[in-house]
Amino acid sequence: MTGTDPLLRVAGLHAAYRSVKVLHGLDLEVRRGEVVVLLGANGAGKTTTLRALCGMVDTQGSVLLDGVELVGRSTEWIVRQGIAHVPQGRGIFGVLTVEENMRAGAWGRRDAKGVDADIERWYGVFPRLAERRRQRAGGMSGGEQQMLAVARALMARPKLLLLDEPSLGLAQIVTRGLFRQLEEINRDEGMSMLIVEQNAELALSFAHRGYVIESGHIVLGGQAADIRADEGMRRAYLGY
Amino acid sequence: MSPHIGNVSYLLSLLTTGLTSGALYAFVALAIVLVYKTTTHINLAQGEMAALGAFIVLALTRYGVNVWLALVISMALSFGLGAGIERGLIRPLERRGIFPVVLATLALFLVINAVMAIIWGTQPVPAPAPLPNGLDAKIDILAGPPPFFLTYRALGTYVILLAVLAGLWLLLERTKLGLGYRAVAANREAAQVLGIPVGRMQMLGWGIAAALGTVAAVLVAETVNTLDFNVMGSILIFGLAAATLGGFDSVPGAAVGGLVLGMIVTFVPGLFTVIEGDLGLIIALAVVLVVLLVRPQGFFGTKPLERV
Amino acid sequence: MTPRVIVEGSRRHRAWQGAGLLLAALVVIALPVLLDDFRLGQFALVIAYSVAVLGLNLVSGFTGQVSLGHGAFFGIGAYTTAILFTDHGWPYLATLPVAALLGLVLGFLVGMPALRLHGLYLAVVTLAVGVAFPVLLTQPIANKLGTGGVAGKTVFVNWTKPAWFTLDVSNLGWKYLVMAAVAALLFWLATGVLRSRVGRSLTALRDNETAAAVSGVWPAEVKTVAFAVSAMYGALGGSLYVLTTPVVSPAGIGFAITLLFITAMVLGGATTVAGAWIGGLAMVFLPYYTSQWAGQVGFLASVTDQPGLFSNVIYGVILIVFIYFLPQGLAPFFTKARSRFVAIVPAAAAPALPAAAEAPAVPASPAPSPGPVQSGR
Repeated sequence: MTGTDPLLRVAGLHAAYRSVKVLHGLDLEVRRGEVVVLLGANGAGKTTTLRALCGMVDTQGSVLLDGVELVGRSTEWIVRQGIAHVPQGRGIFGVLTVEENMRAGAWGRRDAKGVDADIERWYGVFPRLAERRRQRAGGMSGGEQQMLAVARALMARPKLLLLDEPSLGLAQIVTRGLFRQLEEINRDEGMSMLIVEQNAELALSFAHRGYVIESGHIVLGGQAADIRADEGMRRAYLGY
Repeated sequence: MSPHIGNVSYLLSLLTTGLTSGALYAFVALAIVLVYKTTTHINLAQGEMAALGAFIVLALTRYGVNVWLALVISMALSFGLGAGIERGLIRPLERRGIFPVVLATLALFLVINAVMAIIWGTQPVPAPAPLPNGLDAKIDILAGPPPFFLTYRALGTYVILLAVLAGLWLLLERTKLGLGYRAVAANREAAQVLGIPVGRMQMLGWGIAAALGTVAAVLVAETVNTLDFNVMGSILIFGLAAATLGGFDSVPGAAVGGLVLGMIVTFVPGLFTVIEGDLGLIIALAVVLVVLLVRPQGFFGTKPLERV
Repeated sequence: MTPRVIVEGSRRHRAWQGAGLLLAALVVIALPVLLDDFRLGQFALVIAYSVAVLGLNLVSGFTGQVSLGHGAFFGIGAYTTAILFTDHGWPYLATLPVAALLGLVLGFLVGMPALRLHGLYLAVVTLAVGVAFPVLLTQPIANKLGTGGVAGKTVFVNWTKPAWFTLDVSNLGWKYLVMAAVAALLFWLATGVLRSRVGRSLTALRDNETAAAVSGVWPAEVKTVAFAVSAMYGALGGSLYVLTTPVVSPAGIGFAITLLFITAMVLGGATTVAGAWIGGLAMVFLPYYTSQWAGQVGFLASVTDQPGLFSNVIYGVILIVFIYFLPQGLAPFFTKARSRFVAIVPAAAAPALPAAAEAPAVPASPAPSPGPVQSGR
């Protein structure tokens, strides 16, 4: 159900941590309902790209979400426009219960009933979380914590979900399960996603399109299937 | 050993004395912890800000304002001052690490302390007394000797501490604001990406801390009957020791730490007469050192005192 | 004008250094000849404070943290010297090694548990020590050692100028010169530490932005030793203080003076050697002139009977202004001023980039200084 209508349009994005420039004029696009994967070596600027979209680093250029300019805005404001970010390392609140984590994800919403309904809805998708709703999130396994991080991000009812290395530190079988669930969420809810992932093979098999980033530039972009099929590209950029 | 060691009345008196000072330490420890949780800073001017709040209560009562109303007004002003200081003075320094922030709170200490002395003088003045404080304001329980009784002031202090704890629990555990505060305390960056206003939660911590500090200073002043610009000087150390004991990131830890410290400080000199004089501060120092060696994160804390 | 370029460690460099040291020494020696005893007493106090402030500089430099108990170390030195001198008849100079050793040991004991851990522990522990120490002095057990309790210990070092010393100075002038000599030795040692390989990598990280990073640079052992040495400087500062003031009391070595030491350190420049004596000058002359000024201004005098309080407000404001706008303190200004005339470059870099090299060390200025003070690079 991928449309051609661009949800996110990034043009000439520069980003820096204090004085260290990391992104040098990045262009990319995520269409409505699409899963896009961002690939590249360590230090290429993948995580910075996601952080730049959320206004967590100093940025220049243009980031349009549904035609609304995000550059120069606070993270709080950007989140309200419909971007949810699942940070690297999951960033769950370990001392809070699972349900409190979910409610924290709905911080910007004022519809209490809708929030309650959404909590139950995502418990339906992630039954493990429902079982542990009153437990401290820090006591869960890595896979469960990652599910919580995704569910918590979805609580904001975002237009676009950013995922930073969701497979980090997870067993392969857990990762595969997680990606299957992400695929379902994309298919059933039409959730658009931009994913940063080390496991290129896995990510490309699930994404619609992909970009390869190198030293803060996009060096390659195209259909996920084409990138997978092109051995030259794989060798040159993805190292497998 | 004290000759009174088997005397129930004497022991009960020690207990209530310990609980009363412990409650005061707990207030200060709570203030320190509420600042620490979201900012990972320790406000060394906490005591001075509290004393300033007490002086504001005093100034208002001199204008004929009811002492309880004056306390509420002063708490509100302190809240604003605390939140404002966090936003205006501390936050711009945050990125530069612990060192400048510690120095900034020391600068606050110097300025507030001196300003209080300039405005209200260096001599102690009669303290505002929200709680009944007369010689007869007590309930006699055991005839003794020594007689055991509970003063209304002590009872009032316990009630206020319980009310504050209940209020904090409701605020932190049962409101959306509290959820946001705890989320920031648990993981600042993750809270930020969820759109939780981290800065406002830090201001909230400073604000509540300052308001609580004002309560503490008023009660401390009433306990010693006078108010002067150094009234919170040593109480800050007891508060820090209590927070170290309970854990700098634990609200219940601060309360328990304060009460336990109050007991230790009262019972050790009370039972072992070998030691003479006012040893409270030295005992507090010993407690800090022992906790650091045995359990640096404190007995209720989760994280060691470290800036991540 | 283009600065004269000198290669570090060259003969010319040493000649300049020697000339600078000589100039500084001349100023130090000229003061007791030219000044009356009141002024001279102030400068003697500057020396004592500078040594203590230098100790704080070592802590902030090596640990990236701040010691909030420096008054206690200052106090242990002052009391040790006072008690040994007054009650046990020791010669003054013989008390200094004992004071130094006690400071070192106490510093070690305090630093060991706190520096094993990161973050704010050092602040909490040193604050507790700093506040508890004056109380300890008033305990009966301390009284038996001769601390004099709450009132403090009276000590007057009546040291007549020896006959062989022919320079025309008062007895106070002689004591002042002894203090200057001791301080000169201590500053020289600190400069040596900061010039060593360890010190150089340390001061490369000097600016406040990286002060937090510094705390992670050194293993706990190095930090603990540095802290102990800093406590020793504090104690020796206290021992020197005894020569200037007839009484040491618990009130004088509490948190109040610790705050002043810290402000002085920041004002001079944390982790610099030159900053220490700038801080010492500020500690003595700032409150002096502030009280004088506040006592004269009608409005201020009418507000309080203690004009000295205004200097505390000024201290606080200075502290904030410096943290915000001059985190390096005043010391770099002296280096900068000097480098307009003389640029000193490391031997290796000499041919390549003469003027661009960072300004290093030479006697900073001919201001009254407690010995051969140098701006640490």
